Amino acid sequence: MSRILTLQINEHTVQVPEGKTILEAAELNGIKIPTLCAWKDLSPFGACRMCVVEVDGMRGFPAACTTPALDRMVVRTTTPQLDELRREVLALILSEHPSGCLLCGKDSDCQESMGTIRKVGVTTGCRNCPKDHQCELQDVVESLDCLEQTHALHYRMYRVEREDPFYDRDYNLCILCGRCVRVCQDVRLASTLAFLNKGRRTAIGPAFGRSHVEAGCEFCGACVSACPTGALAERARKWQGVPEKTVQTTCALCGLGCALDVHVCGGEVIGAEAAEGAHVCVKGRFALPELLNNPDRLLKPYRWVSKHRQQVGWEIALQTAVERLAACPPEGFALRMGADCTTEDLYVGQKFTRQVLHSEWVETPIGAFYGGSLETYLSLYRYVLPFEALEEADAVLAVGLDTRLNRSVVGVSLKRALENGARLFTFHPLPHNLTRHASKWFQAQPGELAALLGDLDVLQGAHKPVILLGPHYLHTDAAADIFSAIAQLAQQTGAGLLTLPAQANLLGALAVGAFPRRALPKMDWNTLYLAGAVAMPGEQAEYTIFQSFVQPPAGQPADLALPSAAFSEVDGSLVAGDGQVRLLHQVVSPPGEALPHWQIFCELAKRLGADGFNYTSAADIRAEIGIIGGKELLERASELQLPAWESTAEGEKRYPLLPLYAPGEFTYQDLPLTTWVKGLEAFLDGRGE
Amino acid sequence: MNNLDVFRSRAVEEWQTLQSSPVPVIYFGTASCGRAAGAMQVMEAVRNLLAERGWQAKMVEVGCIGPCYLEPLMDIAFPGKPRLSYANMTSARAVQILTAWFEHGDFSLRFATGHFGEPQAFGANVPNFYDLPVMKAQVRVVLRNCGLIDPGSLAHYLARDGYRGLEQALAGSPEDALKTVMASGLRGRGGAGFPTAKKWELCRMAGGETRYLVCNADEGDPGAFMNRSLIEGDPHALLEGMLIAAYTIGAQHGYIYTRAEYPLAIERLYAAIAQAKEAGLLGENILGSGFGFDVTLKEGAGAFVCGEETALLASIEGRRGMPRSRPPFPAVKGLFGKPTVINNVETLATVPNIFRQGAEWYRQFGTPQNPGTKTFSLVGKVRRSGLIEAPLGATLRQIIFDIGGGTLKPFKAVQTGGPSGGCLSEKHLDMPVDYESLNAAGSIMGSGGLIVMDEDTCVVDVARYFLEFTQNESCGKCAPCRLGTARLVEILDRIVQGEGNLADLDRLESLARTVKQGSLCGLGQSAPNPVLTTLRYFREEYQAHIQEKYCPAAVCKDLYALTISDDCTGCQLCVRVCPTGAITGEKGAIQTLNRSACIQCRGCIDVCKFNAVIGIPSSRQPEKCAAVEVLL
Repeated sequence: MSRILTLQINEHTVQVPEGKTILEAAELNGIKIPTLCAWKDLSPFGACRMCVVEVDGMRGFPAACTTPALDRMVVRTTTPQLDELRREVLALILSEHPSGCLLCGKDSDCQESMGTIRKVGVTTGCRNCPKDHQCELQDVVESLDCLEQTHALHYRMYRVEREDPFYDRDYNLCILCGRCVRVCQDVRLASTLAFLNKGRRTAIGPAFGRSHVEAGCEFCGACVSACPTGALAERARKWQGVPEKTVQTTCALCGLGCALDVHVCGGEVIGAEAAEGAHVCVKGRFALPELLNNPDRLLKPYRWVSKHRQQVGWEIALQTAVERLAACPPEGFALRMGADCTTEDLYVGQKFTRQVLHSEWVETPIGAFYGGSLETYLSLYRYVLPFEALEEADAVLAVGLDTRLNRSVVGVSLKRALENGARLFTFHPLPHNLTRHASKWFQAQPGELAALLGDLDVLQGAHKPVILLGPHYLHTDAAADIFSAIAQLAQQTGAGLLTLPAQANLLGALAVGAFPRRALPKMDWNTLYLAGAVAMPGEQAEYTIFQSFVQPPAGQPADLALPSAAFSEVDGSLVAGDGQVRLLHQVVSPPGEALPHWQIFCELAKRLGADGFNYTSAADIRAEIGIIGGKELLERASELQLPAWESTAEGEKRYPLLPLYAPGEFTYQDLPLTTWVKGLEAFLDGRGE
Repeated sequence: MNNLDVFRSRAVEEWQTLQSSPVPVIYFGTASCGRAAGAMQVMEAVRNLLAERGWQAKMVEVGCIGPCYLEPLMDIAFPGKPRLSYANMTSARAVQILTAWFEHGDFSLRFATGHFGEPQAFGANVPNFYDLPVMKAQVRVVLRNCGLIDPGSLAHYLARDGYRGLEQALAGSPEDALKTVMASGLRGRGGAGFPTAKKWELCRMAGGETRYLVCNADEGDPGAFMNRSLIEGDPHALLEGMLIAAYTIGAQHGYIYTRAEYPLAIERLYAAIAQAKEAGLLGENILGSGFGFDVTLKEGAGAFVCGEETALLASIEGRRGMPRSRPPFPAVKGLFGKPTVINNVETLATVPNIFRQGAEWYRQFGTPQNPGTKTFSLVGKVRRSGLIEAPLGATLRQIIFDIGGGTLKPFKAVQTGGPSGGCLSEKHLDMPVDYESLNAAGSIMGSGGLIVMDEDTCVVDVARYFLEFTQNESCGKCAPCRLGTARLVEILDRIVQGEGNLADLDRLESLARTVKQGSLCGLGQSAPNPVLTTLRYFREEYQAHIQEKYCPAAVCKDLYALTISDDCTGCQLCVRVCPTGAITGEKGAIQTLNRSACIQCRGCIDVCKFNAVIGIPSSRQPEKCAAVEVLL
C-alpha cells in the first residue's frame, strides 16, 4: 500500500499515491500540462521541455514529467515566465519543423478547395503532412497560442524514406521527442531504432547505418503509433484523415488473438493499432485496410449458369442452394470450414451438416495443422497456459520458433521474461532471431528433435519453465514424436506449454466438434460446401458452393458463390491458442450484401425446413454452446470422440482429415495474405518462415 | 608488518638507490604533451648515444611537471649533484649536454633552466626550479609527484609516502573518514564545486548493499588537460583517492571513465591497477582491513556530453550517452540503479593528501569557503602556458601574470571553465578565482581551463567558436539545447559575416536565456555562457561588427582589411611569409600591402615584431554577382 502524498498544484490541493511524477499527479487531478515527449507508459524522458513547471525550493524550471512528486510540494504549472519559456522552446522546435499547417494564413481556403479533386488535391497546396489535424504538435501550438515564428526556418533536407513496406518516414517532420525510440527499446524490446549522431545532426534511425530489416525491425508499427507528428506515417492510412470511430476487437489473423483497436472512417476500416496495453504484429497492425477493402472482395452472390457468371440476389442464391441441397444424399455432402470462422459459425456449420444434411463430413484444418498427431496434440493441451504466463517464466524452450514477424507479440513477452532473468534454449534447424538471446541453440533436424528433448536436462531447477511450440517442426513427419516428447518433458518438469497456431480458431473447431467423428470412405462428392479459409478442392465434386469474403481463385469458379463477412464485420468469439475465449466486435457493417457465415447457414436450414436455427445474434448461439474456453475446453476435448485411424496406401496411419490448406505463415482465408497486402511480400524474400 | 610495509621498505630502498646513483640519471618528461613536443625523439637520441659511446646512465620516464612552454624537458641528476632541468630540449642539444659531461664533466649550465637542490647548488645563474616565476606562485598538492616520479612505478609512489593516506583512512572507521573529508571542506573539482563530503554522505545514507564509485576522467573541454596530465604523471594518486572514497561510502566496485583519445593515460592506469592488485591494494581484504574494492577502466568514445554525470553513467551501462533529469541524483540512484558517487579525477587525487597531512593542513590553502588548491590548464596567448596549481582565491592577475607571465600583446579576456564558461574582461583580473566569484561574474570554475586572449582575439569569434563546439557536442535530446544553440550559432555566423543587425543582440540574449533556463543538463544550461558574458563585457565589439562592419581584432575575414602602418621598419619578415606575394616594398622602407591579393591568412601579423600590420575597417562592399547586376 503506497503512501498518499498531498501536493499543491496551482491553487488546488491534490492527493496522489507515492511514486508519481508531477506530470502524472497533475493529470490524475485533471490539471493539464502541455507535453510532447511523455506518452502513455513510456519512461520519463524530459526532452521536449514543454512540461516545465515551477516548484518551491527547486532551482530553475524542472520538467514535470521527470520530477518525482513529493509530499507538501508546491507546484505552479502556469506563470508568465513558464508560458514565455514554453513558447520560446516551442518556437525553436517549429524552427526545424515545416509548419505551413500552422502558420499559413490561407490554410482554410486551401482546405476548402481541396475537397474536390481528391487524387491530386491531397498533394497540391501545402498540406503535405499526413497527420494534419491529428498532430500533437499542432495541439500544443494551439494551446500555447504560439503562432509567430521569430527564428529563421531551417529545413533539414532529409530524404523521405519509402523503401520499407507499410510506413514512410519523413524525418524532416521529426521533433526528436524519442517516443519511437523508447517504444521500440523499452516496450517492444526490439532496439531497432536509436538516436543517431549528435548536435543539430541528431536523427532517428537504426544504428550503424543498417537498414530497418538488418536492424531487426519487426514492423510492429509501435513507433508509428507513438509518433506525435507526421514523421512516421502508415502508407495505407496516409491520406485517410481523422478516424470517425475506433472499435476494439480481436485480431483473427492468427491464433494469438491479440486485442486490436480498429479505426473506421466513412464506413471503411482505415487502420488498426494495438489496444491499450496490448501488442500486435505486422499483420494486425498494417494488413487490415488492404485486406478488408480489397477490390477482390465478394460483395454479392453469384451463380454459374451455362458458362456464364450470373449475379443474383440473396433470395435466388438461397433458393438455388436449397434446391441443390434438398436433392443431395447424406453421404454425398461435405462442409469444409476454415479455422478463421468464429466459434459460432463453426458450431452452426456442424449442426447444419449433421442435423439438416445428416452428413458426418464437417471438416476444419485441424489435421493439417497438427499433421497426423491430433491425439498427441490434444494430450499436450493439458499443459497449455494463458499467454500472459510467458513473462513470468524463468526458463523457456523455444521449439521451431522465430519471433520476428507475425509472432513478434510472443517475442515481446519472451524478451520481457529474459529481461527478468529467464534462460532461453532454442531448437531450430536454421538460424533464427532468438539465437542471440539464447543460452544455447540446439540446431536439431526434425528427426533428431524428439530424442534430444527426451534427454534434455536444461530445465532442471527451473521453477516456472515454459515451452513455446513454434511452427517449424509441425508439418514434418516427426511431429507426432515431437509432441509426445514435449508432453513427456512438460510432465516431468512441470513446464507450461504455449502452442502458437497460425489459425485463429483451431481450438474453437475442436471444442464444437467441427470434424468428422468416424472415418468414412473417400468418395466423389455430390455437393461440396466450402466456408471460410479453405482451398478449392482438388478432387471431384459435382457442385461447389463457395462461401467467403473474397472471390474464389481465378480459373476455379464455384457453381454458387455466397459473400460472407470478414472477422472485423461480425460479433462472435474465438478460442485462441492458449484456450482462452476472445470476443470479436463488429467494427463496420459487412460491405455489399455479405452476411456472417452462421446467418447464411441458418437461412438455408430454415428454408430446408429444419428447426433450431432461429438465432438472432452470435450471443444466442454462444448461449447454446455454453462455456467453451479454459479448463472447460480441456474437459470437452477429452470427451471428444476422435476419428479413427485410416490406413493409406503407403501403410502410414493418418486421420481422415484433409490438408485443407497449405502450411504457411501469411495466409488468411487460405490464400497468402501477400495476395492483398503487398508489403508482406518483403518478408517472404527469405525472411519469413 | 603487512604486505604494504614490505613493498614500501623495498620502494624506499629503490628510490634512495636512484637518488645516490653512481651514474647520471636522466629523466624525460614523456607525458603526452612532452611526446608531442618531441621527448621521445630526444630519448631515442640519448639512448643511441649511450649505447654508441658505452656510457653508463640510467634513463627514467616521468610525467609532466607543468610548464608546456619549456617542453620537452630533460632532467639529469649527475652523480652527487641534485637534479638539473634542461628545457626545450632537442636531440642535438641533449647529445651535446651529455657529451660535455661525459667528456669534460661540464654541466652545460647555460642550457639549464633550474635545479631541484639547495639554493646555489649550481651557482648564482641557475635557480631552483621552484623559484622560477612559473613555479614560485604555485602550491603543488595534487601535482606534487607529477614530473618527479616514474608513473609506471608503484615503488616511486610508495617512496614518496604514497598510500599513507589510505593507511590513515583504514585505521579509522568510514565515519571517521567522512569526518576528515568534511573537515577539509573539499569541494568537487569537476565544475560545480559541490561539497565532496556531502555527496559521499548522501550515497552512504542511500539504502541497499551495492554502491558504486565512478571517477569522471572524461576531460572534454578544448584546451584542458589537467586530468590527463595528472593520470599520466601520478596514476596511483587517483587509485589511492578512489580507495579512500570507496571505503568511506561503502562501494565495492569502481569505474574510471576516461576517453579512448587518452591512450597513454589508459596505459598507465592499467599498469597502476595491475601493480595495486599485486600489492594487495585492490581486491579482497585490502591491507587486512576486510574492505574490498576493485576498479574497472571504461574507455568512452570521446563525446563531450559524457562528462555530464548522468550521461557518463548511461555510457558505462552501454547505452547512448544522454543525460537524464535529476532528481533522482546518482548518489541515490546511479549506475545500474544503485547509489553512486561520481567524482572528478582531481577531487579524488586530492583526497590522499588530506588524509596523509590532515584536514587542517589542507585548509591552510585557499579561502574558508573554498579551501585547498585547484589545477588549471593555462593556455592561449599567455607567455608561460602549462598545467599549474594554485590555491583557490588567488586572483586571475596572479595566475595569468605572475604564473603565466602575462600576454605579449595587451590582455583582453580570459575564458574560464572551458566552452561552457564565461569570457571575463580586464576588470575581473583582481577577482579571486573561487566558485562563487566566478558564478557571480557569469562564468564557472569548470574543470579548470583558462584560455587567455589578447587584443588579437575577437570575442565574437570566440563566442561563436565555443557555441559551435557545444552545439556539435549537444546530445540532441532536449529541444532548447539542440535547437537553441544551433540558432545562436546561426545568428553569430551572421554577425561575423557582417550581416548582423542590432536586434540580433536582443535575440541572442533572449535565446541564450531560453537555452539556459530550458535545457535538461549542465551542458545546455551553461552553453550560452560565452555569448552572455561577451555580450555583457564586450558589447561594443559586437556593435562594431554590426554597425561599423568592423572586427577590431582583425579576425572576422569579412570585416577588416589589412594595412601596414608607419611602425614598419622594412624588415621584410612579412614579405617572406606572405603566401600570395601581397606585400611589396623596398628593404628598410615601409612596405605596401596589396589588398586585392591578400587572403587574410594573418601570417604577417604573427611574424611582425613591431605590430605594424594592422586591421582597418574594410571599405569593400559586399560583392554582388555581375550577372545579377546586369539583370537588375
